[in-house]
Amino acid sequence: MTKMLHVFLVLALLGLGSGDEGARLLASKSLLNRYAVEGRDLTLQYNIYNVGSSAALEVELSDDSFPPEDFGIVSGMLNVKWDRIAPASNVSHTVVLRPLKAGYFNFTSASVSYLAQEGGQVVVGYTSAPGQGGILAQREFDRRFSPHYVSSIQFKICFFTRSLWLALTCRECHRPTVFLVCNSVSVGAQQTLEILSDCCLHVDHGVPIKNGSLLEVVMSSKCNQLVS
Amino acid sequence: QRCAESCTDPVITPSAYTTSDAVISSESVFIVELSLACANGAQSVTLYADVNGRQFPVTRGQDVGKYQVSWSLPHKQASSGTYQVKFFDEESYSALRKAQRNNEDVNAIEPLFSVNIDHRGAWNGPWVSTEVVAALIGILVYYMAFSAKSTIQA
Repeated sequence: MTKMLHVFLVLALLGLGSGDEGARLLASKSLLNRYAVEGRDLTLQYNIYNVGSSAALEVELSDDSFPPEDFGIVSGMLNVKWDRIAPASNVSHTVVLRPLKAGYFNFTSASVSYLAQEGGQVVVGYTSAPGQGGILAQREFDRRFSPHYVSSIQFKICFFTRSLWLALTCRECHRPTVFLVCNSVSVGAQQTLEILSDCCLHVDHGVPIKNGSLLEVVMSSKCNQLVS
Repeated sequence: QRCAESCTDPVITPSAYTTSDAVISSESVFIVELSLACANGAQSVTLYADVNGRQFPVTRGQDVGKYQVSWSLPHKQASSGTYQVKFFDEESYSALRKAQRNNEDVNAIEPLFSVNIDHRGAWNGPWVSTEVVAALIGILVYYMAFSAKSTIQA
């Protein structure tokens, strides 16, 4: 009977010992960039949360997923340690890299190792992975997003001034005014003509016709007068 | 519990990074890296940092004496200027926390050392968009042409 009791007690203690006490870390790795551009700073943030009931000890974060020939380090360290992370708390770590090559890159997980309790076994976990992303080439990014201040202003001034001029001086024409050589076209013939007027908004059955578009017309008896 | 090592006469070599481009980054980050040498040869000192009332644990690098602390702020909150980062060891950090809990003057607690970092602010793109500038100049050009035309015709 006492032997059974002893066995029971030992089993009970073992059960308690390997229960859900101890630290449990969840880690995320994310890019703090809107765009990843070759030669520009790429900011990575690692967040580690201790959702366990006791402090995690000797926490080591190690990220080997960036080959030195593809990424230079601007600031921060990719292998760091915390002596302890208290329960129900989180820590954050940031590293700034510089991509040296454009193209697709698969951002994979970093590894986190820690002791769930004093003198316990080392637990290894992984951060989340941002996944595959594209690193834009410098030229592509500049073309799309850089203001190119002066040249873009010049272009926009021209465009704006011309639009303003057209808007204020153009009138609506309900018949296209096209310059034709009359004797080359016979009355009643159907022709495809290009609308060549500069400052006139052509309207065909109530629909404005774009300058430079092709229009199917039927010649009337008079030159410069078309019935479409 | 491992005994906390204390550091006497700390000598530091700091370097700092702050986000300068807000177009490409979604948040402003601050990174302070430093090498620490102690007169008593202490090698694994646990450090804590305090910046404007926010506290962070300081990470240790693989190499002896290398430490890093980092934090992030939304661009709007990351105003330009000097940020003072105070570094505390275990002892002074618990004194700091105690003072905070008892609402005592936290500035009275002496840090082990402190580092000042300058943040120039992150560039958000041009202050005035090119469309607005173009529109203004376009209107000006049109006005000048129109008034010139009126003068000629008059």
